[in-house]
Amino acid sequence: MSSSVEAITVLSSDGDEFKITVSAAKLSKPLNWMLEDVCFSDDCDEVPTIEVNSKTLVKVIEYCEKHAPRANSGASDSDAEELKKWDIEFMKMDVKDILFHILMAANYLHMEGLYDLACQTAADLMKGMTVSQIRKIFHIKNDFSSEEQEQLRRQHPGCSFD
Amino acid sequence: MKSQQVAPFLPREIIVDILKLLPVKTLIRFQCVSKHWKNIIKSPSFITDHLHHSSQHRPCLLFHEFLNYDCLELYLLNFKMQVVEVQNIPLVEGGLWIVGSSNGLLCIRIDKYAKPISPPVLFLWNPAFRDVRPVFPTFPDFDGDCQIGFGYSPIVNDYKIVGLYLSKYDYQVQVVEVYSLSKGSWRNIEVFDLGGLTITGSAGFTVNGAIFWIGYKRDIGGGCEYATVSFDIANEEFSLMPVPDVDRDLTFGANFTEFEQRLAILFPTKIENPESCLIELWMLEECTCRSGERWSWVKKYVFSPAYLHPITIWRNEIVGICHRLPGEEGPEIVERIVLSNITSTELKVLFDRVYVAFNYVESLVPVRNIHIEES
Repeated sequence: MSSSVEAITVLSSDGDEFKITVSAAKLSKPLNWMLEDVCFSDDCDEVPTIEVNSKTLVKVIEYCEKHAPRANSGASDSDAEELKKWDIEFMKMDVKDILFHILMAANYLHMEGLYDLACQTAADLMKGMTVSQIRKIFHIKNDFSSEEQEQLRRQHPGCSFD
Repeated sequence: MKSQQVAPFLPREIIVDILKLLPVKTLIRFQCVSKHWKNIIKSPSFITDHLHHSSQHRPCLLFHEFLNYDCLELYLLNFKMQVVEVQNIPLVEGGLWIVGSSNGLLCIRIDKYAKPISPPVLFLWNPAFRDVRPVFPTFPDFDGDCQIGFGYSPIVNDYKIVGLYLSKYDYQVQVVEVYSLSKGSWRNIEVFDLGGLTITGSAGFTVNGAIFWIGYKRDIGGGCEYATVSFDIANEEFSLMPVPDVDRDLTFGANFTEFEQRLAILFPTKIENPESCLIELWMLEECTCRSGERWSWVKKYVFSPAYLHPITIWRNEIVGICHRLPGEEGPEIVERIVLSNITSTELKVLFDRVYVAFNYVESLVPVRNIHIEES
């Protein structure tokens, strides 16, 4: 790996260019491997593509840059507390719009911290949703027959299919 | 770049990772989303994943009122330190109590005070999933006393109930039966290891794939020889281990608990100071002692700012019965359940009555064997 660069350029799946610092990129295992494999000196013009769309990649990079100092050096309790608050603010995003993309990206980029955070955010949002709202955001059809619905209702009175 | 994006289809593994964070109540609702989701939520691997997460992140303590057998009034101390009432299933009238709790399943015992005395009827109950099922002992003619234990072994991935039948004349163990949830049947097992032994307490305590009781034998001089009786749930074998080296009556006042994933016993200290106390916490350790004993008990002390009778340890709290809070005066004695934080020594009153406590976690574990039910 070249030690001369502090930031690298990557392409999103939409073809937009993004800069990410080396220390932030290290939060992702695949990006870390890429850093080790690809030449990133100034005279090397190879720009790797990350299969994440621009809107999502902006957020992923924002998360990485925020978490990189702590991940690389360890942090005090007050830093950890501050970071927790930041995470909560950071996750105030619309499920339909971007949260699921973040989940997919964190999974694909092997970013455990972001993945767990996004899963918890999704779970917290889902608790307050009706079954039909869930079907809508997950693109699911109600495939129960009326007999099956009746049977489930008998087992769990109060269960709603709407 | 489009401004409005459609949420992507999430692969099953991500859906599972999200669902396992949800409480049982929400998952019961979400079974109605689709057949695919219902199958995920009902699958043994998901039930295990969910249980594992809940045990780590949502441990609860379940309380039922001491010596109140007429109704099963249950309270849950949840991981947010809130007390909530548990929705009850009215089973049958009279004489019921919890004799075991493991992975969200409760073993409930119902005694009929009819003559001649008959063995108790047992129920397995998952209160969170509102699932209940009776388990009838196959030994209906026995007219002695009966001790029950209930627990889980990860080695055989099975829940078992142990019934120790005690003679009505000398309270010694006569017959032992084991019920396997996966087999759905009882089996009689040899009792030669338990010859001449009397079992004390109201129920067995389970931890790490075993169930424990305190047992004793009367010696000729009228004294008691105590033993920790252990039942290995996987291989269905009993063994006898030593008891903590204490100079007191172990048939009363000693409470089993789990501490740092090990079996432990709590004793109140015989103490002069009514304002605070040191609680004795004995932990079972595997050792290579010179004496050749495989197991030994190691004593620790835990400080409490009030005099209390410890009943269990939950997370970082001693749960105990307290008669008088620090600074309280006067002749009136109120029995309370309090939490005493081991690190901060902060004291918190939970109930103004006496309850017994069980480790508990809300789970999806079914009261019947799904493999048997589905085939």
